[in-house]
Amino acid sequence: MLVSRDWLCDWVAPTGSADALAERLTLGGLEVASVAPAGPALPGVVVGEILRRAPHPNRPSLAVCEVAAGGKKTAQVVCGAANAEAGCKAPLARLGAQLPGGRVGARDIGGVFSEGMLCSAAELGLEEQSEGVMLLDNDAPRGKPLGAYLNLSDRVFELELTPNRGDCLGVLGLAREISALYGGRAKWKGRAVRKIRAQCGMKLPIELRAPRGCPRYAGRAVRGINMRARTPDWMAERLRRGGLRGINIVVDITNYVMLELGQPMHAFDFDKLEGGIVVRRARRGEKLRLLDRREVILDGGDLVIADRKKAAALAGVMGGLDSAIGDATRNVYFESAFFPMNEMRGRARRFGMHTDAAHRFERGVDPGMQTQALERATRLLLATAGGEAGPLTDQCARKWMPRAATVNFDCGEIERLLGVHIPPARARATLERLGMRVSGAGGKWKVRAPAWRFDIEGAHDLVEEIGRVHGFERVPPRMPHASPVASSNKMHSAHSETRVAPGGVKQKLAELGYFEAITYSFVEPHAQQMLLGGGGLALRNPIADNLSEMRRSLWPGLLEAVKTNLNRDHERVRLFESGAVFLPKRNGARETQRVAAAASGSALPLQWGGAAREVDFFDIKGDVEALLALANGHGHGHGHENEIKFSPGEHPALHPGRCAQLLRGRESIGHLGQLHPRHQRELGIEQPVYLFEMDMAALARARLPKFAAVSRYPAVRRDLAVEAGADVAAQDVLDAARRAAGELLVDLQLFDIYQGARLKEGRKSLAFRLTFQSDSGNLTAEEVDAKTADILQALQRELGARLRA
Amino acid sequence: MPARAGKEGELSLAESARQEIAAAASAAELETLRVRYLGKKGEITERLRGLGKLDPARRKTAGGELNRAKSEIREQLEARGRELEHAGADAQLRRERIDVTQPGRGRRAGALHPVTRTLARMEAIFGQLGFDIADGPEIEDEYHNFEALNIPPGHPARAMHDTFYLGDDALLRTHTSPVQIRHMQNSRPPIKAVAPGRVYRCDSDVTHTPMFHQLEGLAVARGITFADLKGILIYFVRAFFETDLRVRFRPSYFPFTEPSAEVDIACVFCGGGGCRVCKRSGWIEVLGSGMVHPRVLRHGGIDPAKYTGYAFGLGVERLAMLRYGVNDLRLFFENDLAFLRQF
Repeated sequence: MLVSRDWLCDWVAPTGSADALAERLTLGGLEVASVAPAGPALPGVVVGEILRRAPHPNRPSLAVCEVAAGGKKTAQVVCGAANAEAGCKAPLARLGAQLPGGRVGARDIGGVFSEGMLCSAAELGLEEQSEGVMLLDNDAPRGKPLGAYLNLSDRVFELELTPNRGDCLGVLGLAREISALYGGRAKWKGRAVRKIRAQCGMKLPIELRAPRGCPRYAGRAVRGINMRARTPDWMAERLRRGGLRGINIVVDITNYVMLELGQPMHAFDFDKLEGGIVVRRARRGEKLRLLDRREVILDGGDLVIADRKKAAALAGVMGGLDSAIGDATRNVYFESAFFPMNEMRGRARRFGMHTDAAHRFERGVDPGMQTQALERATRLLLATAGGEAGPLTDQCARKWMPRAATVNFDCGEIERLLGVHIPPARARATLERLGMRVSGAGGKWKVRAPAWRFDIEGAHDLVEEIGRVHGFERVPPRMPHASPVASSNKMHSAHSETRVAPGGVKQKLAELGYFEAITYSFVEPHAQQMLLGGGGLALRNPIADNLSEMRRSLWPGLLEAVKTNLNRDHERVRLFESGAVFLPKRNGARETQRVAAAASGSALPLQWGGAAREVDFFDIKGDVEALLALANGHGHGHGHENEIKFSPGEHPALHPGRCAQLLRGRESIGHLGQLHPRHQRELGIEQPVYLFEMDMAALARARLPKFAAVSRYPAVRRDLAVEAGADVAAQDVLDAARRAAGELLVDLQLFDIYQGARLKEGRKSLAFRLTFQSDSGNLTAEEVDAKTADILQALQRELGARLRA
Repeated sequence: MPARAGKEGELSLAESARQEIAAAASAAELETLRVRYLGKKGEITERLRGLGKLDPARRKTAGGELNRAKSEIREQLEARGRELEHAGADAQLRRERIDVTQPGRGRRAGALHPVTRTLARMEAIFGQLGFDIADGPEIEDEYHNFEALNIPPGHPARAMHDTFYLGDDALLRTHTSPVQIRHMQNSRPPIKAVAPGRVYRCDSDVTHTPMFHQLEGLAVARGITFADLKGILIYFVRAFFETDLRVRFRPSYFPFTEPSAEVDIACVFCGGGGCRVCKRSGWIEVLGSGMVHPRVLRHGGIDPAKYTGYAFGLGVERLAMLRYGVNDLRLFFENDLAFLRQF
């Protein structure tokens, strides 16, 4: 909300500068986002009077005006505006005047000398755009500097009010707040509005058919007004400073009253209303063309202001076009109604609208303000456009009017919540200045909130009022002591040895050369479907089609990021992400935490010390093994319940021959492999991408190291090369060897794999090193030979492998 | 060879040997000298043999001198030999020189995302202050995301939370505050926890992304006041920014706290003097906070007559931007390596 200091000072006179007032408001909970001058200083611009207007001798579109601006000499000014008529007053920028667009100099325009410029509001920097010269009131003093005449040194506050403070959406409410914040040091200047006696009998019956939606409606007709009347300069300037455009005298007055008193009003063309005012629910499918020329189709929940025949306004939101004030309007009907905020909430938004009226009703309008606003508007209209006022009609369904809250308040609550002592007398004075009625004594009060405050329900609300007026900055902070966790689960687990914290997994991946990505949790549905099959959870209101389905894997987002980076000429891309995926289930989704990575491009960063090579399956498998080692130490926990195995697998996203499944027992905890080349092409990625994804929970369960005696006897090593069918899994060979060797085999390492010309087609050779060791004595060559023979036998029997010649 | 016995004779012999040994340039030359002086037919050996011809009185002194000269020459030969050996080895090592300015070999580390890095610091600071870590689902229901937090349907605060919906009663949480409710329902006071995580708003422009991160804080116990809230948050921002920043608590409104305060810090870019980042105000808003609303405590199964509590919510990206000087929120989710490498 925008409000000028000048207007506020009609009601209250705070001491100090505008900036000091802004700071006090901000620290009182009414945030002032900016303080700006009401307009540029405009030196050299004065009120001018156009004495004569003659056509320009050489330029048919221009006129030559003689302008008086105080002093004896008049100025000759060439002007193109049609509204610069003789007898009008308008701002004259004299020679040398400083306008936002530059300095005004003497010019020869088509052979006529122009000594200055008649200005439009836009040229003066008062409006973004405007038409014609800015006309001023007829009684504006000739020659007076425009800045002084319009008080452009006034300051405009831009307030960012919280939604609970609807009562401050008007000059009056804000002034009341200032008076409380200054604790009596700001003089109150507001006056009650005097009632206007009816001057004619023109009126309409008012029928409240939906009293819950509209418990109070006040109206009044004004007959025979002059629609050609200009909005006076002082009012136009206040509206402009309040951020509103001038429309016509009647609408400007309703806007003025709204900005001043916070009560939204509406004005109908009286002659367009038939038979009376009916406030009712809309009929389902009923149509109404609004002031912005949009036609809305209503339903039974919408509230309308109608006449006997049809809807004439969308209550509290916007008026209808058919009954709008226009140039031909002679008789006006003012509306000043109360619509409760719970009725109004979401009403405008349903039609994609946000109006000043709806904004106020949704936040709560003072239920006692209707007739006062009506009297104020009538008085302004009579003073500017003439006419005769009809009697004021005020219909009220008391039963549905909001009741002011009464709170039982114990002064001890102040210290219990704020941690600071505020003397009860001061607290009481604060509440009273805010319009509360306080009764009772001894620190136990009954506090009755004013009608305009809808956010006072309990003691905590009163504590906030007292606290914010006192000033949060005056509450001394109680500094914490660094302390160990009292009762805890997760923070402790950060130090647990049997759990790997997600942070540890991320740290390890970063060490392994991956950069962490954070991608959106919603992805492109087609890409996801292609990669994973099946369907996902769709957002009802996605921000874009390519961000419309909840991810079921971290891969779609990572692949998008890989692509972005490859397109930006990064040759080696290694990214990881950890986070939730959302797996559909019957009633919603199962959220589960995963970690995933993608690698593409060269295996190592470009360097002098290693042969360039593209990343392959075994690079990322090595990385996966490093992650598993976080939980299980080296060797992925052989024989332990935690043991995780790689087995050939299938995954719709992955190359069918280059995909492994990670298994713990029978449970699949992840996949790794090469992105299916078809998907790769489909995604527009030009080189192979390797991927893995694992359940974070599976990585978290760590094995506590368990000591085994260190043997004092020497270890014996044997290297063995066997030949087997090319489709025999290396893992099976190692497992079979381990089973056959028993406990004496303490280490087994595969160190060479060969497939090629020196072997028959369809065969491969595997060489591994066996390390035997006993903790009870020296192993003899015979014992080791026997074990080795056992292993060979088992390999032959189980896998058809034989010792390589 | 004439037997020139006498003191001068021995001295000059020892002296010339010393000079020759010092001038020797190789192991071979040293060997030649050794043979010449100490060999079977060497000069010292010959003279020792000639001692027998001297009368017994002179024999004793001459013998002593010769033996001394012999051991001196031996020592000098050895010393010179070691010197030559080291010099040779050094020359060899010099030939083995490498260019130590060549870059190291290896895979080069990646990095954590700045948001993760920031969250980790936040968790560590609050951890030190005794806060536990809590979490909750990202797909929430109306009750936990809004109603239990005192935001009934139609409340204007809902308009500020542009919500993504998945179903009639399934939405993406718009803040981490629902974790407050879940955490209170699952534990008993005293409670002290932070809940970090992703949140979602249906909004996307220069300063908004449809997903971002928050860290929620909650403390509930007997005797907790607004003064504690101030203390904890002042401690946090000073620890986080590692400087004694000025901190300002500005009354505000959140449906789930009462009283509520927005917290501003003195602008970390201009120190409070006013700049473009703080829009000339000298202050930067960093978080929202307040005393937990009694209705929210009740929704969490806690009696507001016995217990009080505070809650706060921090925007993680915002803190990361201030900390590292990142000037565009959207960079966090573009995942460009050129950005990620900087952390």
